[in-house]
Amino acid sequence: MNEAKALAAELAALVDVLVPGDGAFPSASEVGVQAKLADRLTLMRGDGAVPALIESLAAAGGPLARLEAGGRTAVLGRIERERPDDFLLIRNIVYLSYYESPAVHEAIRAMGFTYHAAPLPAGYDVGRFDPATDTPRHRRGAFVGTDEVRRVDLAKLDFLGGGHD
Amino acid sequence: MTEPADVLVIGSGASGALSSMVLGQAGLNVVCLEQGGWTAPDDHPHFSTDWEWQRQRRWHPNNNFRHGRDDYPVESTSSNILMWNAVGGSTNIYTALWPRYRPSDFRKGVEHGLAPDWPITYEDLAPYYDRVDRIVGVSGLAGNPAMPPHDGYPTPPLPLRPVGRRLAGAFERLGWHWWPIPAGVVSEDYDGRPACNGCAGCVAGCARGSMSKFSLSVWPKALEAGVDLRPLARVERLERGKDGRLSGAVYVDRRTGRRHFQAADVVILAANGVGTPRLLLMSDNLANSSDQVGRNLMHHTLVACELWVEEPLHSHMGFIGALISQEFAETDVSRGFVNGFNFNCATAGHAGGQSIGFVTPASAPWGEGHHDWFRRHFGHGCAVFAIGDDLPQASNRVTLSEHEKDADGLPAPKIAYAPHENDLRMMRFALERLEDIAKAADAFDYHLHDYMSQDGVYQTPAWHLLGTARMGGEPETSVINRWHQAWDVPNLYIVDGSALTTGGVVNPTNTICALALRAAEHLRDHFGELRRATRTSRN
Repeated sequence: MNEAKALAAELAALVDVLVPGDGAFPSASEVGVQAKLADRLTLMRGDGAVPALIESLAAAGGPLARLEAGGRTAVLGRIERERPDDFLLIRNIVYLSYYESPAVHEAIRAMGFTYHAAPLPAGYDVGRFDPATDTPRHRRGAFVGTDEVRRVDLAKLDFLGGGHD
Repeated sequence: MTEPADVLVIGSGASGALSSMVLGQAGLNVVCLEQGGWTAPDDHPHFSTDWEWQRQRRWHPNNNFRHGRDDYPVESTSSNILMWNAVGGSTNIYTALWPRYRPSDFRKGVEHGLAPDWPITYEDLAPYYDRVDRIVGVSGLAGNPAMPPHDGYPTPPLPLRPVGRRLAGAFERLGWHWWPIPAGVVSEDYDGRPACNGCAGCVAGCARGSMSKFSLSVWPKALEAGVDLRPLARVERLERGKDGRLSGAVYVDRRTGRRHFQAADVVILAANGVGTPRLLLMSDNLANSSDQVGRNLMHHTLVACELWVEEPLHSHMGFIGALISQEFAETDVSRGFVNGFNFNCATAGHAGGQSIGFVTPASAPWGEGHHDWFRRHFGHGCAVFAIGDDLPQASNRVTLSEHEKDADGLPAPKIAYAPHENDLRMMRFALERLEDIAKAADAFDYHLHDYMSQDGVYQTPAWHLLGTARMGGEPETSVINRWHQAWDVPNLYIVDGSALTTGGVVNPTNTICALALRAAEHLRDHFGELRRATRTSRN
């Protein structure tokens, strides 16, 4: 395996540990999250970011591509504990990239939701305010009018340390 | 040197736009300098499948994360500043929740004395709230018993939707107040703007202009009136003449790098609660004989709850706001603190945002449990924020950074902010009430968020920048008078959020707009006299 293929395999293994597939949802690598991870990590952290990630996976017990599922999970768990900020960044890139995928949108629709790939142009039909059913019937709520504002007793608020009436 | 203006407005956000419009429509020669460019509808990420990613990058509300070409850095270890530098200012990215302040918000000096009274009352401002509603284009339901009666809204409330109905049920169970949320969003076509189509991209502003993005709602009217709006013009300092009045401002044309002087009879500062004190401090500590410039910074107290219920709420759809509750808005010292707070109830975001934690760190687990979590939570969640009235403190302040500069070499603002013990007590109380709401809603899962770092530092998402050049009745303790006129500089007016004396319990843009409209109309109606003013009146 050449270096580029090994890198791709390692990133694919990484994103699949974070978001594996199941019967309804594809795995992260199936929808190309590994490429977006490389792009976005480089955008945020510079050219050395992806090699540094690969090195950190190796240092934590990787490479992932050579491990079974349990070993891969252990490596990611170690990084999450030892480098929580770095892990959170990678996880968030993977999650956001994953949920951009048309195949994932289709899986969300299969859950019974109307779901668009982007907010616009379509928007969502959310109906209109129905005065008959949506107007509050309670009469709760009050305000203190301008001329009704009175001094409150601060004596019980000991944290103010005295000096207040 | 360019031709002198009658009025120079610095900043084109909500308050600068309204001021420019009012004075331009009166036939005055108005120049508005804006350090940013235009944020066009197509610049918003709403049409892109990667829009949630963009929200974490170039559409991040915090300019320190965004590093936009028009931004300046803000040095702070506490506040995550929300700011957008462009025509229309932060209305390009706000969520336009539109409640009003309440009468007691203006009387905190009388009520407890831990904050000053405003020199004006709710009644002084009420007519301007009504008119702002019509100018800006808003939606809401009249008759809220928790507020003084006022004119109806120009468009009906936005739909309650399952999120609103579910939370309304929770508030009913608790016996607490709730009301459909007033919004700076039109629910019907209004004034050339299309009704909200429920796209739910509100966290990245509104590309349609259904939400009042002031570059699409107010600026067209100001430009039609002949206002000379100059984008990409960053003001470097205000210049004072020998008579103590301002003569104008020096600005950098960011397209050419050249500096220009714009002379004016009157200068209006509308650069937000961070930008305005920064500019005053950069201008040889201008208007600061009281030593109050930059002090009394208020962000509001904020704690939140994200909750999930078995019922599908379709909470990735529709306007972000659903309900408000003003059950705890007034002071009740038996709770252990002064001041009050408001609940803003909100939706839960699209799939990506929900998976990484929409308003709290509650996120989908990685690994084998990911999809089960997502199936259970997505579309079933909502959020409740408790926004409280933080006490103004002299130590919470904007100063100038000794280390950081913007792209033009101007010193960055530096922010120090820590909540008062009273604020912390209010937040703890509010967290308990948020838990009450989650339980009353029969949430199967909920997560409370106090915005404290691991080191115990309150790191609020500082959506609101208030109080740093406050209005008052005495020049010794405030920066501007009841008409927003600087005590020390009679032809300087400050109309943005820095003018607010106290923070209230609600999102402030509506109040900032009402104040700016009032100030601009006063200036318009007395311009002949005020353009030559050599002293600032106490009346």
